[in-house]
Amino acid sequence: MHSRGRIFSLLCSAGLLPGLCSLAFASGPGASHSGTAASSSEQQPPNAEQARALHALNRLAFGPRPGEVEQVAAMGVSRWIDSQLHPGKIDDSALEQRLSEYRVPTMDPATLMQNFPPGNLIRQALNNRMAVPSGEPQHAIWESQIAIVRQRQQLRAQQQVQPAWQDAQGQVASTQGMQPADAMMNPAAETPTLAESEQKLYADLANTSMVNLPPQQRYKALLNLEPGQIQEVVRSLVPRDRPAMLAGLTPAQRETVLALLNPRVVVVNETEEVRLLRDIYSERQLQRVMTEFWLNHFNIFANKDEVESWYLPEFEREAIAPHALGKFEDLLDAVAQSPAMLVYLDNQESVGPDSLAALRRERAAEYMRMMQSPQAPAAQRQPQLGINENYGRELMELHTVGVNGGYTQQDVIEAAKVLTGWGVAPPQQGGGFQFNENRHEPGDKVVMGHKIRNGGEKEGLQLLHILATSPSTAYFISRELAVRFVSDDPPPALVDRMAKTFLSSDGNIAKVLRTMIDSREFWSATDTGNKIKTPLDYVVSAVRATNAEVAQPYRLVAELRVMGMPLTGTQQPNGYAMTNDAWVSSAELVSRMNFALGLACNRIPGVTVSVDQLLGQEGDPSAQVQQESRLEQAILHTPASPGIHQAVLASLDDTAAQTRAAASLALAGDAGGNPFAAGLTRTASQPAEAQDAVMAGLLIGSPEFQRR
Amino acid sequence: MAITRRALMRNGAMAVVGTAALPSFLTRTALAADASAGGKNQRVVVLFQRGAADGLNIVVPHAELYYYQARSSIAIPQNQVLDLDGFFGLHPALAEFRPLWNQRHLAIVHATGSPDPTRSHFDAQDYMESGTPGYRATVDGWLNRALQAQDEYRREKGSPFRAVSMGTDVALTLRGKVPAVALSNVGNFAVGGRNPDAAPVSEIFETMYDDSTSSLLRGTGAETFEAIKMLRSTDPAHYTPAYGAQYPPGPFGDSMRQIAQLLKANLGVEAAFADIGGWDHHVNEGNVEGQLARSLRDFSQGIAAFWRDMGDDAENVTLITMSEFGRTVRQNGTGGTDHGHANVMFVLGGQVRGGRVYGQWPGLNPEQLYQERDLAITTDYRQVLAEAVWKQLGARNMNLVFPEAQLRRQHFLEYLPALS
Repeated sequence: MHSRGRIFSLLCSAGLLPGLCSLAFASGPGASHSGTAASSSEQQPPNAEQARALHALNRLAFGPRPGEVEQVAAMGVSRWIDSQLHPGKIDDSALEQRLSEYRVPTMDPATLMQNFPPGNLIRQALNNRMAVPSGEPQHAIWESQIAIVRQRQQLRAQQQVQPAWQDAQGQVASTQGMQPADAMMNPAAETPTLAESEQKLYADLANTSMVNLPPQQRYKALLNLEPGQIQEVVRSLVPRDRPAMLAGLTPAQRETVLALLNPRVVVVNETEEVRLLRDIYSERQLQRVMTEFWLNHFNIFANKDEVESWYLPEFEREAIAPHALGKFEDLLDAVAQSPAMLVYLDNQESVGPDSLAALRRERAAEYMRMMQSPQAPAAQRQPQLGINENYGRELMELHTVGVNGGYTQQDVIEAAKVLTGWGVAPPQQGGGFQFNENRHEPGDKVVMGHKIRNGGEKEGLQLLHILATSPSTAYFISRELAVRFVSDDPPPALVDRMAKTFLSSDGNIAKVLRTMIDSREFWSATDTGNKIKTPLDYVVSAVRATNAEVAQPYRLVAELRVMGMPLTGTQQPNGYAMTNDAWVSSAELVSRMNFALGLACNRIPGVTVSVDQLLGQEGDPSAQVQQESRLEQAILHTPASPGIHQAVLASLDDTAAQTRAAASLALAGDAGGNPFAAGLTRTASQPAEAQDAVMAGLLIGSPEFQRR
Repeated sequence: MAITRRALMRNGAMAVVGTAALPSFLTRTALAADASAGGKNQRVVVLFQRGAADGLNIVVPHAELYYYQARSSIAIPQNQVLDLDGFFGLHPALAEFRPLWNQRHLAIVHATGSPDPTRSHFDAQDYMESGTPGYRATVDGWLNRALQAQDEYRREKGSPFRAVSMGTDVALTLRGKVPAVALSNVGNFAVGGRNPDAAPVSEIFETMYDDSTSSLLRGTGAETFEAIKMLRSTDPAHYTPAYGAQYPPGPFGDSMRQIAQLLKANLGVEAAFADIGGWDHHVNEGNVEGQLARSLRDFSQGIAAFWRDMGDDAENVTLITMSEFGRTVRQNGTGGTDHGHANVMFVLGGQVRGGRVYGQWPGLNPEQLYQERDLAITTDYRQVLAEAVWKQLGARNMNLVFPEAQLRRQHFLEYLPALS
């Protein structure tokens, strides 16, 4: 308080803040709440159309970019909404240009596996059951991975060697309590010989000098390393120096170098990064909001098994995005036939108990029993083939009619029988959808009172049609949309109207949204700003609000992990909650405030914010109170509450401390498995800019900005 | 009083050193009296071994012939087992548990687990953590509901640190209505990091959240800043474990050290959760040495260091370990074990009647196995948890904590003394 008074009086005596002075002194220390008048002469309350534009951008897009509220208001909010409902007509070439260098999202799973092999293919190649691709750089990547797996196996084998002090019966002299076989306990292994140290020194020097090579020579040198050697190279570099290893390389070359170490990281990171870049930069914002909505509705967990991650780009590209605003049944069919979902919810494991495959297995087991002695261990018998209900259940409970949608356990079993045979050919090699007649349960089925005649593959489509057109589904999906777009507890009358549109329009998602947007409830003042942003909403809207340039999105993806919303990392099939209480916790708020400061103060590697640009002019340090009002306008688009306004102004009190704080801000978080990312250079803020940056950070971290 | 006797035994070494132990001895008695009232100053620490730990090689039924027949290369030889009672013995890598057992602070429950037959790690972990086996849609965890049930009996507001989950997000066990805080690094839980220059920024944020029109943001904001300030006052960055406790390096040791730190700082922690991964040993599990032994050393050293570090404060703590399911009785073709059914739980605490293996042993004869391959469950894991919830946290509404389990007091194993 003391310092605030000092700064204010200083500004006053300089004649800079005549209006504010009287206010600050009249209200006295601690009475900051009364400072309404301070929210600026130049800040106009938005007109009605701008208020509508702001609401539309907050709900139907990932928040406004600087100037966008005014643009949308000028164009007319209704016209903007029309265009967003017809995304095909919106030019998005700037985004496509930005993404043109990312290869992962464009590849089909099999190609992806050739370029960035999963562990199962590497093990096959290691055992000579599969040929290593001959072209470069795939060959180098495969060989590197093979060498890494081999090293790991050797290490494990060494650790498994029967200790010499233990004889075949496992007898041991009790005096030898220490475990001499343990390498950690072996002083000889601990202390390298002089020769070894020297060798390591030269190796490290070689690696360091590799960093200094021109990019193309460096890339060649990295490709020509002994297979697996890349690990040593990374280890020998201090984290600070690692980013330099990738400097100047093309994105494809960077992918390759990272894939030498870990192909999976390339696949998962790039999938998540491109998803985030689209959310941030696409002009087709509603299309992106809906794509994220469906990706969450039809959640897939990237770590389901060894290959699931390789199906994620295709899932978004082919199953979700094309139908995000289309017909629900098309979307449901595409998801049901996507290898990503068939693997994730185990349908490809499901076998009809009376199917040909099950009968053959049974006969084989019988034969084995006849041939074996009766003492044969039970555990070694082949597992029985059978129904896996997982997808059948979630299809009804989470994807269509909802948990109260009127189905029974028997319906789940029948639905699972209908879907037997729907599988992937074969997932270990990136295969596509395949119907396997041999695994299909023969006979008629009855699901929720509907008879489905014995008909092989077609039965599944019939089931999906029944579910997609069920009134329960219309209501369930409409309510979920209303929770995302209107309020945590949406008015039942609105949901009913949306459900009616759903049924009468044959599940046309754009029309259901249209009914919602045209409703009084959507624009209700009491619900404006009542939704807490999810971490995804928050990060994307913050980047958009600051007009940040994202050159390297990996750190933003990592921030989502810190905030508890890894994009492809939730195991539960119901995805993330879209209600407020799920996203307000102590750890969550701390992460968000730190992210806000880090973003505005340019402490997030690969992301650059220009506060000057945000202010629309060169920063004038003598007019920071006006700057604050301008920042409020730019970031919140509406005057902040008096308390927030005063609080942000208080940051001007101790310039030196704020600047130091901004400069030394350390963010928790990780590099998402990318060892080269650890110390990517950050844009240094100029001290004069730091004040404005801290103010911008405070506004982004403010409670106002947590809401939409 | 048995409690004081055992407390004396545990602190025997210190008592010899000087009279300094006396005042704390008196304190402990006072707290013990409190404890019998249930709930006050009582803390529960839950540790989850993710990946399905091999309970049969952790607490070894070394008197079972079938154990050695089924595990030709990975069994722990009888003369290597740390014998407990002539039938069971600890894996030799659990040597640090031995004193805790001898002092009767460590109890074991064998052949326990979730009745759901799933062998999926994720489903099983969710079921264990939600406390509702077989029911996937549960959104909150049993320990959070235990705190909710506790609230039915008391009015005062909990501390922001009442429920602490180690990690970047609140584990399902602790998710729910009662605010729980996720901490990955006690030293980083601050706005702007530990940097002292950031304090003014933090205060500005505090003013803002205090002013928010959203009660959710205002309320959580207040809790957050209170927590930040409480934590700052304990100088979390400079913590020295007491009594020479040495935590093993790595995430589990870090979690245990930070839980001890929070508990000892009197921040009002009542429930803490941490996990430790890497138990899914399908290949080359090892026996006396090897992968499982390494995991067990980390596990037991972390717990033993925690116990030592807590000193007298351990008197009010009950620590429970669990894992989603056990592993097959028979070793597989690759020197490991596959997903099984029943498992073992450890219970450690000042009040615990330790030095005993609780539960019925179902046997390992082929006809005694679950689905002809796994150790059968004779104690539902919720019986073990419910007793701690009832006696340690003083909660009564078991239908809220474990819906549909129909748990009654007569289901308790009585590893904790009855409440007076």
